[in-house]
Amino acid sequence: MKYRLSEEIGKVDEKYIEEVFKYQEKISERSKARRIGILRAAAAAAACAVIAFGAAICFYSGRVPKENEPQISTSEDIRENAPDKSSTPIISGETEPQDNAGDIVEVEHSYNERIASGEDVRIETHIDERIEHQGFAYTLKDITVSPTFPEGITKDQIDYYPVVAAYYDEPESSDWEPDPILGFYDKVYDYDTYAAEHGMELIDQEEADRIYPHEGKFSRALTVGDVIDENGLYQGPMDVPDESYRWIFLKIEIENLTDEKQLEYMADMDLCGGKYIEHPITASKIIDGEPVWEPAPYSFYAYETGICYMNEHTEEEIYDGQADLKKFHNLSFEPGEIKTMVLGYCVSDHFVFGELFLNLHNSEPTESDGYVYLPLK
Amino acid sequence: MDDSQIIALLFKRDESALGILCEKYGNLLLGVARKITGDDSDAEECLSDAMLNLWNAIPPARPENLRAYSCRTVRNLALKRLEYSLAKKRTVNSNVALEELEAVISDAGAEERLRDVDFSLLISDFLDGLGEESRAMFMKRYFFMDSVKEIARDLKISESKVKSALHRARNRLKKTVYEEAAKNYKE
Repeated sequence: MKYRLSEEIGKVDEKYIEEVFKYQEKISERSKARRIGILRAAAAAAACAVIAFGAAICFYSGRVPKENEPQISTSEDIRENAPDKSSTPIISGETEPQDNAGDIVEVEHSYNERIASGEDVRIETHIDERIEHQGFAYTLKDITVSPTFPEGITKDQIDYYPVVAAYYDEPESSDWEPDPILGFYDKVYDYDTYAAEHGMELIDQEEADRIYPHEGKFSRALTVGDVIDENGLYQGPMDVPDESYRWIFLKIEIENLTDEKQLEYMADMDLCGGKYIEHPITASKIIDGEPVWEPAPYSFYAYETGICYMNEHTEEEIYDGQADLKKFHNLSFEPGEIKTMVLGYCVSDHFVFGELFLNLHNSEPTESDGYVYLPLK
Repeated sequence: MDDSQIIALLFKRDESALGILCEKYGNLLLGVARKITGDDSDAEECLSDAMLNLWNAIPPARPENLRAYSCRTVRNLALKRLEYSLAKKRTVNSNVALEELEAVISDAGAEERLRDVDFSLLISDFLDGLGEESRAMFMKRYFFMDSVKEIARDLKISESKVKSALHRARNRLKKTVYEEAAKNYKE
């Protein structure tokens, strides 16, 4: 036979064949579970917005934190008490391993319940080694996630679109696929049906551009991408009138830049959290005229920044992703400059809003060289 | 009816087993054949032939997994038919997958040296070395001849990821084949 390898593969043990079916079934079940999460999220989102609105007013009314309320970690605290660098991101006070790896709904639920119960859940991560392991270095020194609320949020900012999707025209390139703007886990091919099933408002691209990520109400509500100085604006904890949710803001301090670089970040809204993205720009580069497919480091950053950590994914899963939102905002850094960003992140009983993808690069990506990741240590 | 009962009927030479088998897995098998042959009537003939083959093979064979066993039977019949079609210059989509796979051997420069090699162990080792997801992708592409788009849809991942994983898997297979060829060369 001409096709020898194909013929040989036709002789493989049946277990490999059966495994395909079982794997598909597993994926399908997982997908179903995620959809349940999304439905819950959609239902809870409106309530969350209303509560947040109240919370903002409450906060803004000049409330003083109680004495026994948990305090926010400063970056100095984090450095002094830095966890073992080889460890995976942790939640302070958490001693049990996350034993539901892969069971996304369960893990998320568990995590969010703890936050909802008022626990001072703080995520700290030092991620040098893991990033190095991937062949590129990171510059994020400390990442703190605290149930806090930054000063400066006004009631008109607590207004967002919990259920928004957008059409993307499917381009010619096979590298790129349409996704809803909220970036759900699952590939969605029929947006009308999907939106109807999930109570989403389907909008066109122009409207999506208006809303997301930085100019519309949606992003403003979360203060996504707000750049503040090291001394300002980080306040809390806040009084949460209904503990079924928390707004969480990430304080990300970026330093050690040795040259003028660009930090490119993308904030993504994901109703379930724990999503991974493979950006088409970085998905391929051309070597000797042949495309070479490579995983996009966004996924890794998203994971390593602790935002997706809660699902304990494997490397393969991290690379799982969807060509998703491609809205970036660039920040320029002077050598040695430190900048702090605050990004909105909302957690409720069943779901998480918001994800962040960070990417540091020193040049615009091109087809030939892809992104350049800087060893900044 | 579960698979063990169908197999029991086949062992009893009860022809109703084929009807039940066809009812249970007919669409799946037809789909497998159709993907490979790219032709409905060819696929139907493959299914008929597969039923006959299964009837003749069981017993004495007692497959541990009837679904997988049936898929393999129809897949290999479809592949033969495809080869015939290609000889007649008929264009079939699955040919792309076949060519991708065969390029592994030719790229490794190992065609001659591997003539007498038993691939079964080599392929098993290779498959065992892949992660679960990559293995599923590989099998879907090169066993079931699914398109990249179909794989992405079924496994709920992006097409770019599928391409990436398949590319890596083929490179890995190429390396395995190359090493095997080098071993033969020394011998």
